[in-house]
Amino acid sequence: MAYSKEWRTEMPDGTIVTRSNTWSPPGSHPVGYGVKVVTKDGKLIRIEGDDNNPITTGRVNALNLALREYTHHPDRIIYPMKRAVEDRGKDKWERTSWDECLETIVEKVRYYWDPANGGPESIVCFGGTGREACIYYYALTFSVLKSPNCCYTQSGWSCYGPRCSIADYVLGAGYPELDYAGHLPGSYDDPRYTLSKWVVVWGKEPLPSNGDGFFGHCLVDMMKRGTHIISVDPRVTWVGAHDGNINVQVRPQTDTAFALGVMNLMFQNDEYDHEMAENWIFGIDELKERAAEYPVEKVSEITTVSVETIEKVAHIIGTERPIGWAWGLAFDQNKNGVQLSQAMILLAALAGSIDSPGGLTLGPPSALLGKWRMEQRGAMDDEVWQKRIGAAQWPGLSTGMATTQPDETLNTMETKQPYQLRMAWFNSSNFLAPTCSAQPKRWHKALLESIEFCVIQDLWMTPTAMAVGDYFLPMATWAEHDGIVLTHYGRNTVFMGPMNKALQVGECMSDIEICLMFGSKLNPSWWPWLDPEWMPGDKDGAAIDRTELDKAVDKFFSDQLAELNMDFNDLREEGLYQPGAHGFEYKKYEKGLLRFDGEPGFNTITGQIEANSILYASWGEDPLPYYEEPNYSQVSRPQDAEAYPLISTSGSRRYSSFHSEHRQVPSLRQIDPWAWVQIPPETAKEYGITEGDWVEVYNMFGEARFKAEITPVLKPGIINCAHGWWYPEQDGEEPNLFGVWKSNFNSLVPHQNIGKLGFGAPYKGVMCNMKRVRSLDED
Amino acid sequence: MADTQYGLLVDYTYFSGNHAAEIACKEELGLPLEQFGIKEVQVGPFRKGEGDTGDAWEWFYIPCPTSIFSEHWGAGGDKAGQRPVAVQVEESASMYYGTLDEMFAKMQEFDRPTVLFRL
Repeated sequence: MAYSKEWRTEMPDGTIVTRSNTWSPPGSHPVGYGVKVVTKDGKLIRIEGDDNNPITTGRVNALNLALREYTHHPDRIIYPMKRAVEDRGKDKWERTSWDECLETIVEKVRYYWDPANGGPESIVCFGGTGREACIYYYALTFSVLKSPNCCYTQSGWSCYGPRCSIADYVLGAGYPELDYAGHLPGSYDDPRYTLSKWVVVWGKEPLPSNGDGFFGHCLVDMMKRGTHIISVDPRVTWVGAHDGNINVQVRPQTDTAFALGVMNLMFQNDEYDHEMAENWIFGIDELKERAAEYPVEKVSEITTVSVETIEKVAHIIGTERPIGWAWGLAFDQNKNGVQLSQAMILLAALAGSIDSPGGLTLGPPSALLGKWRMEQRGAMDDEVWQKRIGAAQWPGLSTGMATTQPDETLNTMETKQPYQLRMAWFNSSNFLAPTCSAQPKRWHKALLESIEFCVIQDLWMTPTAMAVGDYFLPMATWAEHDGIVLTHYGRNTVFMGPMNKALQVGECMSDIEICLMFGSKLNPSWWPWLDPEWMPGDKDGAAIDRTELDKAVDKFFSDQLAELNMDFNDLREEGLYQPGAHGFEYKKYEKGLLRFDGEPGFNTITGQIEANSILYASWGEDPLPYYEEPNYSQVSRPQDAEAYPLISTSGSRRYSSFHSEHRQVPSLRQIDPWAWVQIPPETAKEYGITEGDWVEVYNMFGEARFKAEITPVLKPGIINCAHGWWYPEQDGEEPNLFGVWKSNFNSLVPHQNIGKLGFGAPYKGVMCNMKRVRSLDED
Repeated sequence: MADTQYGLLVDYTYFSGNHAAEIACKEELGLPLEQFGIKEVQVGPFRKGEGDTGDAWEWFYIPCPTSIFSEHWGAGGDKAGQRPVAVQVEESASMYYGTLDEMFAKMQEFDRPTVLFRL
C-alpha cells in the first residue's frame, strides 16, 4: 500500500486523525511505529496503527497505545516550575512562565561562562538513553550551553556507545544492524532481499526493547517465514523456546569466551568464508592463533554451555547462509565487552554476513540529524573542548564518543578536580532511579554538593527532579511536536519518518523547541532558525503565540533534509523515507561506497576489518579479542563465594515500561505492578522462597528488594533483577524520594569496574546473595 | 446481518504476549482499568524435554476475547464486521477477525495449531 499526501484528516464528527511515526517522549527507541493519532477538541482520544507503514504494518506497542493515559495524567507536569535551591528535596515547586525561565536560565548560563565563575566547562548536561534527547542533548550541551561536558551517566558508558565505537574502530562503519528488509520498500518480498536462514540473537530481547529503532517483532515475521534463531542469553527466551531454535545459556559475562570458542571451531573445521577472511580481515593469522587458545572443552567449562551445543552453533554459523545477527545490551554491560563486540564483528565477517542480504546492513558512522548533532562540537574553541572530563585519560572512549567518560564525571563531582561542575541540565534522564548510573547514592550526594544550579527537562516529577532540580521545563510527547525519527540516530538509517504534531498540552515544548529558544539567545550564529528576540510571551499568564516557533522548527527540519532534496512538508507527504528507494546498495566495501576517500574497503586505518586492531594497540589494549573472567564472580573472588554464591543479571526489558518510565500509567502498571526478581526453582527451593515473596538481593556494594517470580528459564544460581523501579505513588520528598532506593539494583553495581578503553561495566553480572523479607519496607 | 457469526483466530505459536491488544481494546471501548475486552493468558514456560533446543520447551500466550468483546464484535454487535484496533495493532500480527466462515477458511492455511474463538 502507498501513502496518500494527506497526513491529517478531519472526520465528519469533528475528530482529527493525524498520521505520524513514534519516537519519544514517552521513552522509546527510534522505532517509528506508523500510527494515527485520534484527537478531538484538543484532547487525545486514542492511538491506532497505520497499515501503510511497510515495517510496522499497523502494529503498535502497549507503551504507545497507553499514550492517552500518559498525556492527560493528573501528575504530569505541563507548566514550567521553579523551586528555591534551599528547598531541594521538598515539594515546594511553584508555577512560573517560560519567559521567566528563559531570562533566569540564560543569565545563569552567562554567569557560569565567565571564567571567574567556572567557565563553560563548569556546566554539565546529562542525557537519557534511546530517546530523541540522544540527538538533542548533544546540541544542547555543545552549541547552546557551549560546554564540552555532555554526559550519559552509566558506568563504562554501558549502553550502545561501546558497540558503536567498536564498530567504528574495527569495522569502519556505523552500527551493523540485522537485515530485516526495513530499508527496502518491498520488505521481505523485495527482490534484493534474502531471508536469513538463522539469526543469532545475542544478549538482546528485541521484542519488548526495539533497541535503537530495530522493530523487534520483525524477528517473529522472519520466524513465520522460516528463519531459525540461535539465542545466546543466560535465560531461555520466548523466541529461543520455539521449535528448532537453539538456546545457548551462557553464564553471565562469559560471552567472549563463547565467541572465541565458536571461532576456533570454525577455523579448526575449515568452516568459514575464505574470501572474506583472506581479502578483508586484517590479522587473520594472529586471530587464528588467538582463537586456538580457546578449545571447546575449556570454553564449555567457562561458559557452562555444553560442548555439543558450542559445536552445533559453530557448524551452523560456519556453513548455513545467510546468517543474521542481532547483538544487544549484553555487549556493553560487560567489562570484557570491547573484546566481545570485536569478536562478534569478526564472527559475522567469517559467516559472510557483512553488508549482505539477510546478514547485517551497514551505514556511515553518522548521517543526517546524527551528523548534525556531532557537528555541534564545532561551536566550542579547542581550548574548551580539551577540558572534556575524562577525554585525555580515556582516549579509547573519547575518540568514539563525544561525551565525558561517565565514571570520571562522578569522580569530578566528588573531588571537584580538575574543576568543579557547578551547573547541571538534565535532559530526559532520571538516573537516581536504577536506569544507568552505578552507585546512585554517590551520584545523589555528589550532585547536591557540587551543583549550584540545576535545570530539569522532563514530563514527570521524578526522584531525580525532586532531589536536585531548581527549574523544571515541561516536555511535549511525540504526539505533541513535529520532528524526524530515524533508526540508530543516523548511524544506520534503515528508515526515516516524519513526526507530526497532533495536539498541544499545557505549555509543553519539545527538545528542538527548547534548544531553539535557548540557542537563539545564547548562541544565535549556531541557532539561526529563530529570532533571538522571540519570547513566548506568557509572563503575565497570556497564552503562548507559537507561530514564529513553529516556523523555526519547520525551517530547522527542512534544512536537515536539504541534502535529500526535500523539505519537511515533502517528508510528511511522502510518509516514510527508505534508502532502498533511493540507491541503497549491499557490499558497499567492494564498491568504494564506505570509505570517505572513495576507495574500496572499510573505513579503518588498514581499510580492512581489524582482527588485529591498530587503534586498540595504540591505547594500550590487546589488539586481538580475549576473554577475561569478571571481577565480581565466584571464580575471581573465591574468598567471597560463600557470602555471595549467586550471580544476578539485570536490565532486561518488558512490555510495560521503558526503563524508569511509565510507572504512573495505570494500565501499564497493572501488567507489572512491582519490581520483580526471576529465580530458578532449584535456587528458590534452597532459599525457601515461593512465588510472590518479597526478597532482598544484596552484595558488598548494596541491596534492593523485589517480588519473586519463580521460573525455569534460568540455570540454578543465576537470578535476574528488574531495573528502573521507583514508586510514584509514594512520598516524593527526601529522604524517601518516591521509594527510589528500595528496589534500586544499581546499588549492587560497582563504580568504575570498567575495561581498559573506559567502556563496559558489570550491570549484567555481579555476585550477590538474597534473603526473604516481609515486604518492600519490613524485614 | 444480525445473524452473521464472527470469530477471532489466533496463531498462538507466534502470538508474543505483548499486551498491545489488551490496551487497544480498553482504549477503543473506553473500559475501566479492571475490565478487559482481550485478556492474555500464559502457558509455561516449562521444560517438556531434554536438550538446548526450542523443542524442549512449552511457552505460549493466548489473547482471550471476553464477553465484553463478543458483545461488540460478535453477532449483532455494534462493531460486528469492523476490524478491532486490537487486531490491527497486536505486534506479532497473529490475531485475525472476520466471519466465522472466513476464520474457518483462514485456519486451514496454517500447518500448525491455532485457536478459533466463536464470538
